[in-house]
Amino acid sequence: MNPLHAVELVANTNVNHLAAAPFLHPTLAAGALGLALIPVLIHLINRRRYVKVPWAAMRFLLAAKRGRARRVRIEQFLLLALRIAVIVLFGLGIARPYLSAATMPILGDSRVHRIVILDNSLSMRATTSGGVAGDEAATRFLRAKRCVLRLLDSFAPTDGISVVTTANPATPVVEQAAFDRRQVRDRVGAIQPTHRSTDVVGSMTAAIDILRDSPFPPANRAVYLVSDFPQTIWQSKASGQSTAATLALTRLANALHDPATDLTVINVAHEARPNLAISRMEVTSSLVGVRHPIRVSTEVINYSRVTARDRFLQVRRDGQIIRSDPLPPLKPGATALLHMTTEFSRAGTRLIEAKITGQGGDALSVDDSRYLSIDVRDGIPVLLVEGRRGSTALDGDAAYLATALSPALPGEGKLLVSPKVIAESELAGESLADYSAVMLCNVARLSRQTWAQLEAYVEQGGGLQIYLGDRVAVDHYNRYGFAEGAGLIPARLRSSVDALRATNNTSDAPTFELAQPVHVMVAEFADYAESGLFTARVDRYFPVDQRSNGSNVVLQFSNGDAALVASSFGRGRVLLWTTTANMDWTNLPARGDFVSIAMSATSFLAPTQGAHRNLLVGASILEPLTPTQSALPLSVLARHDTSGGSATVETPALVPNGDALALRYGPIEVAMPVTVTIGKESLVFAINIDPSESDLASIDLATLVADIGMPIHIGTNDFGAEQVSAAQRSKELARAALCVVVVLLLVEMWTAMRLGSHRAVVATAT
Amino acid sequence: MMTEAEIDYRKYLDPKALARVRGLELRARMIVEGFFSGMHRSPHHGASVEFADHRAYVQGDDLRHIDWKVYGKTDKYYIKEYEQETNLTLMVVVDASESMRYRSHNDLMSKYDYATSVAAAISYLALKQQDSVGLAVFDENIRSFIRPSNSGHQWRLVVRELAAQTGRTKTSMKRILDELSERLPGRTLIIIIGDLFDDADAVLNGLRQLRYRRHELIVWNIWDPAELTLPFSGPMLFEGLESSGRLLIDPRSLRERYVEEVNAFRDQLKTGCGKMQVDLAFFDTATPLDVALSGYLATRSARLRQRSARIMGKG
Repeated sequence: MNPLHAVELVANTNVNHLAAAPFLHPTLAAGALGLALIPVLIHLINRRRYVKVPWAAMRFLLAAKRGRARRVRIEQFLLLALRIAVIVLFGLGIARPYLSAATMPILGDSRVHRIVILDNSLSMRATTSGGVAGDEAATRFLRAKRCVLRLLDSFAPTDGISVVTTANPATPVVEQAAFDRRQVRDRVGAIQPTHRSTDVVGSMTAAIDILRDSPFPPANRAVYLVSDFPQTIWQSKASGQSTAATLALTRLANALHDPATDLTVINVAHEARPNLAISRMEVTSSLVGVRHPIRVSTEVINYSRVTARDRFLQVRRDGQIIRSDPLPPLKPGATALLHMTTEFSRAGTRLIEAKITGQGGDALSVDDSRYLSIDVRDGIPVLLVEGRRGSTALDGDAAYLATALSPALPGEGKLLVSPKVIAESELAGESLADYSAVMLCNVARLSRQTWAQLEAYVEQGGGLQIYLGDRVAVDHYNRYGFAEGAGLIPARLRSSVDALRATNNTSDAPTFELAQPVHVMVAEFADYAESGLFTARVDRYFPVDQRSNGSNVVLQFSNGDAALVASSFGRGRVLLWTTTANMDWTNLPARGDFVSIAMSATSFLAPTQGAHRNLLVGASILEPLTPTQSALPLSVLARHDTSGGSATVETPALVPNGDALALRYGPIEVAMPVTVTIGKESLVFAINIDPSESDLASIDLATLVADIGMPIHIGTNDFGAEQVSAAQRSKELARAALCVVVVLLLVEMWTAMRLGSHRAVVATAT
Repeated sequence: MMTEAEIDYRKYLDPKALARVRGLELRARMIVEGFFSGMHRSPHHGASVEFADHRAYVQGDDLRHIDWKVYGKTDKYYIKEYEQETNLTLMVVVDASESMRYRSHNDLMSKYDYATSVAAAISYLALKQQDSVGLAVFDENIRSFIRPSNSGHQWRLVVRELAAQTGRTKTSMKRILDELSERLPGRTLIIIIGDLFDDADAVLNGLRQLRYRRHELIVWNIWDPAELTLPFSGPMLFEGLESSGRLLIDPRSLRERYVEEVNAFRDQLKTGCGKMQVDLAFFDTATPLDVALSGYLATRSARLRQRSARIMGKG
């Protein structure tokens, strides 16, 4: 190693000079060297501390000394050297010496910056075939941690070590190259498997960043990736395509001097036990009202190589078991979608829990449960503004729409959506914040102030649906509504066209079609070809020639022109129909499915307010508060066990949220329901795992290496144990040193006895 | 109260016991008393009747002492001489150099104390047996010289002189022994007591000179036990007595070689004395003193037997 470089290296890394010493305990070594002076000092002191003896037979003593002087000196020095050697070797022995290139330049420069990436994502909690679910002793993570600790032992004490974890988001646990091995071991020991998903890309990006900032020479850097290498992350479904993880690994390999030796991948996955997981749970309707039946769909996937039998799906509503249905036998890789209908008796956030039960646990117990927070409403107020008021129930521009949104006859009870129809002129006097959505039907024009009010309303999360018609002033809409793509309206309108003019045959009039890709709002029509939606005709409409960024065509006419365009504006959403809401230009409102379309559109515009209450592990709860709520007592009840076992109550933080405040709690590391109490109101949050972690299949590392296209080192699970660790080498050297100490002690005793006498006699002279 | 006869003097043959006895005269008496009580024989009984030698009859001699057996063999009159009638001349030579002051333990006597105790005891014993006793105390020079005599106050003279001398300088054996050989008339039994810390060749040359003058020699080489084994440990500064320098060492490292040097010195003395028919005995200050007295008596008896045999041979 270039000495100048060594100096630079030490300076750059702020390495304690003792770290470069060839001992695990350099302080002890320094102490031993200091203690080595003791025999010399004793020797010198003894030369000054002697007993005076008058002696008669001096001639014989002098004669003896003449013959033995040189030998005596040699023996004395030998004895002194033995004693020094005993102390030094003993001190060096307990200081744990080791041999390395750093301490013996003849061996070359081998101080290496070693970066260990440890996967602590959810899939690493999978237990082995012989293990019990939840038993960490038999998890992939434990194997991984042991592997990492073995690796640490195998590294030379002068190596710098960094550690990165992969649980989303990837975190550098030890970022700067650390030389304190005990500290690194402690940090690694403190890492726990999480419920989070894997952020492989992030972890490798972090490793690349560490490599970029590493003061070590490029040839002296190494990366170890210890993971279960989930197939879902590493293997692309389309052959020949690289996944983001593979690309990241390639980038990491390219950042190393010689990936064949410097990049080691270690797969700690084992033959996992069968794993059955709830991958999804949802309600089909985004609008849930009191005593309004909803359908709950639960998806169960068998991530096993064997058929899953005798298992049940237990469903709880607000903690009470409402269903427990047997699961059908699930073949390996098969999916079961189970539906059930339920309803809620009161408004508020409600919790649905699904859990797989039955004999025999599986490899990953966390994904056997799933939670769903549902916002149950008393009603959804909607404001309908019609350009032309009608004299009868179906004459107005919004008449069909109002009927579709509230199809019940008077006296049939309260329905979910509560439409209010007003005239164009009445809009300025309405408080828009009282409505979940505003729907304009053939409104000719709006004042600039009204456009601004609507923009602010949608910006804050309100929904706006626009139906056109013969009264619409196109230029006005384009100027103030579209505003060159910056306004509320997602498309610029052209003049209306008569679709029948070209055909003169109503049967040839354009019909409605689903635009591709199918928008979520109309997804339920994708498998319903007989729907009236597809047979409805349109006689007249406004073609659009330009759409704003981020807008999507939801429905189109059979001639390809857009029929329904959706976009987002601020926190709200906007839907633009290019035709009318009544029968003037299309017969769609007369179709039975118009009710479904109207409800879907309303759901799209006024989504369930509780969507932000269904989170993945790692996210934080953020609940906007009204000024009144901000003054109320707040608490968070985290239920770690849904059966009511353990729970913690904590006080959340208040954080700014625009002009108001919001309640913040988290991030939450465990999949569980969390109840937030604001005053007397309780809100339930559902914290779930990323279902992709449930698939425990691992990629074959040989395949991975082939995908990367460059050689990297594949380590075994016992990697590290294959090598004689530095600590072990150090122990052996220490043992050898102590053995030599024992031998030297015996030699010293023998020499001292040989030179010494049996007893001392005090001499006197009279 | 215990009478003098009941006192077990043998315990005073132990140097550790003697070390606690102050006064050289008393110590010497105790040695002799202890020695003879150990042999179940008192110097006061029969010493005068023990046959020792023959001499030619002269007028006036008691006819009861004529040895008729010799007359029967030789037709000449010989008178039996008994011990009290012998005329042995004993010269005790004590090393009082500074190195003799050394003792390794308070329980032990210094080499000089040990040497003077032995010298006084031997002198006492010899005078009791009617021998003439002289004394020479030396270090670098002869510090004191008492001509041999068997007068009644001779022992007190000897004891006083032994007690008065203190070692000051180093030993110079060759010169001392040469000087002694010139001073001593006739054949004398010389007992040299000291550590002899001088060059072994010089010591042997001096002894050779004495032997050349036909003196009988007994050499008692006195050591402190620590000087034989160097049993010390830890850093020590050895300050040589007799100005022999200083040495800071860990004695454990030199012990083996030191002992080799000591043994080489002793071996050289032993070999040299053996060649000259000099009785050499090694003592350490932990050795019971009767060993020295036994050695003296054995040598004296052997000498008297040699004289008797010589007379018989002439007859």
